[in-house]
Amino acid sequence: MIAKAIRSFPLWCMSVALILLALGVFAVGCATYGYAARGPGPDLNTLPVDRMTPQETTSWSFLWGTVSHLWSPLVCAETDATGKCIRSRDPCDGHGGGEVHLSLAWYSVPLAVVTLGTVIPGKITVYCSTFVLPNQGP
Amino acid sequence: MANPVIDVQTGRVWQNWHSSQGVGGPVARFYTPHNEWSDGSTTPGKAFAPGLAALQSIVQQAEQDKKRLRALGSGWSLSSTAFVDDYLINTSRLSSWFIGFKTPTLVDPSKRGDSDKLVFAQCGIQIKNLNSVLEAAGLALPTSGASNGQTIAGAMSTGTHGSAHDVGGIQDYILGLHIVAEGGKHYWIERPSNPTMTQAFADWLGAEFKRDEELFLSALVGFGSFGLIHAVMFKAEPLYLLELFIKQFDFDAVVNACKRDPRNLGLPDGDAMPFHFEVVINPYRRKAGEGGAFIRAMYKRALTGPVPTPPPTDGFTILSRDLVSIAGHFSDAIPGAVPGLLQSQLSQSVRPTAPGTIVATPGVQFGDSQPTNGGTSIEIGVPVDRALDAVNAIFTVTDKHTFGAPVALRFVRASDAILAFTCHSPTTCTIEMPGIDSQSARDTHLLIYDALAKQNIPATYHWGQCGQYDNGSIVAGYGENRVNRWLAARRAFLSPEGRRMFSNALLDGCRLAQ
Repeated sequence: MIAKAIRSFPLWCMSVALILLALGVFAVGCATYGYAARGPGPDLNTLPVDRMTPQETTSWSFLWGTVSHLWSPLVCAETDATGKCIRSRDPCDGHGGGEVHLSLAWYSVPLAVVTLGTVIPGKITVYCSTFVLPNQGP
Repeated sequence: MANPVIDVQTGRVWQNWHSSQGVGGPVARFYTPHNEWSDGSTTPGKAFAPGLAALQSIVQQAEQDKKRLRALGSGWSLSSTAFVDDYLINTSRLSSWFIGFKTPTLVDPSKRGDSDKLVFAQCGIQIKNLNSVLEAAGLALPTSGASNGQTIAGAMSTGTHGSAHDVGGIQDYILGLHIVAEGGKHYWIERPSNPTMTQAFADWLGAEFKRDEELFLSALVGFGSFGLIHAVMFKAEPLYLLELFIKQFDFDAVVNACKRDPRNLGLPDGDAMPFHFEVVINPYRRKAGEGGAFIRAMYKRALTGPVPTPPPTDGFTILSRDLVSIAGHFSDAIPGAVPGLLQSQLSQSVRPTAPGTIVATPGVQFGDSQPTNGGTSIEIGVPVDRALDAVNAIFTVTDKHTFGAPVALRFVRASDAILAFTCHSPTTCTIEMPGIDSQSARDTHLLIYDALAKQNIPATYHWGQCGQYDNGSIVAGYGENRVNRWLAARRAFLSPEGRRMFSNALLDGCRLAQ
């Protein structure tokens, strides 16, 4: 009965429906969720962050979330004459992340549908905190 | 010897925090200096030293490459004031600071009594960082903008202000500037009329000591045109509380308030002028019974008990009272819907309160806000005695051209900074119109500039917001004398090559780059 209904549906309607469905699925890729850490009292406002140099990666979750990896990057601080990194540093200068956003990549939902949820990528964006306590004056 | 850590990106496209149209673009090099040496070490007692060395080296590189150079604060400006497409510096990681001095000889004798309240803050530190630590130490900023994510140097350089009419803008409590200029040479600059530090302090920094009134007052609101501001000095004041009171009126009831007259409004302290006084008007709801005007007042209260903290929240409520934040929340695609949408938005963001119910520290009252996602805003400074004329001139435009923006008036003590847009003496009325960014809004902005000019109202524009940035408008607003003083101070401080390096397209358009 469903097959009959589909067959009786005009072709242009089917095309429009498919395009809308595809657009909807890909548009889900814009979905974003965020968390902002708070600083100390008394004002307890959100931490200051460096919004201009976010740390970003695409993280993959496999087998309905049973296999995933924690992401904690280090970057190169110093190289030798050959270009080999000889010292690493924390991209957040030791201040930690102040704001974290998780968003779906444009291909996350199509991939999840095709793989029946066994493979779902997500984009992680961390804005480094720049909060510092004052030093001792001279 | 170790080098300072500097991240460099090439060919990056930079956008401001609000993602405003026409602000930003591709950048040849985008630098992010850190307060760290490449061997992982820091400099004991001078945590800022690697960052300072980084700024010096970037200036030298720009000179060598004959490129223009500019430093960004938090990127909040809605104008292109901070932008240049050659070399752009992200100062966010330069957030070292200290409170107080142990060595009396570093401080001018006139300030030694307050040396425990003197704050040396590196350029990239944000207002919210200062607020939280100062308030925990029983201190506070004398004033800030309406929100807290700006950097101290960025807010100062653009003349950011609140409505603390006796204090002025952020630049008006800055006592000293530490600037990296041509050749990477750096200077400690302050006013001879308000000496703060000594030659010994400049020696400690490794800077040249300059007490120069015109240079200080020009560089104070210099929007990056005098070099890279590495740090500033200011005096914090004892912590105080602010009591917020908001009341809704019909427009007719606030006509005198537009002239900075708080009388007969039924405010908590009667006819006394509040510490912060603001009038917000829906230009499309001015008839009797429409309730299209709001008074937002804040009273300075002494701290008598424990410092209050903000109320618990579900985490999704940002207690923003920054009007610019409402800018991206509606559209002017259907002009007929704008008056109602604007009224609804204002009723949320300036919701009436009962007296004594919202008493908080400045850090809470001027707390977090959200980007507008494509919003825009203009803010115009006019002499307070022309404020009502200016408002009426704006209404002649908005009555014919509907666009989604309230008209918000605040009152700020005239700044001594030569090109501060709050320069109108004795008090500047700032008229802010935050709204959506559309062709209709941009066209209406131009009509407003014209309407003010036709009424011969001297109008100046907030450097961090959209405005009329051309030479004719700058001279008309500030007067030829101020513009010439600013240019002369810059010419005395920088060579022609230096002036070119610390300029951008906005300065070119204003003929302030020469």
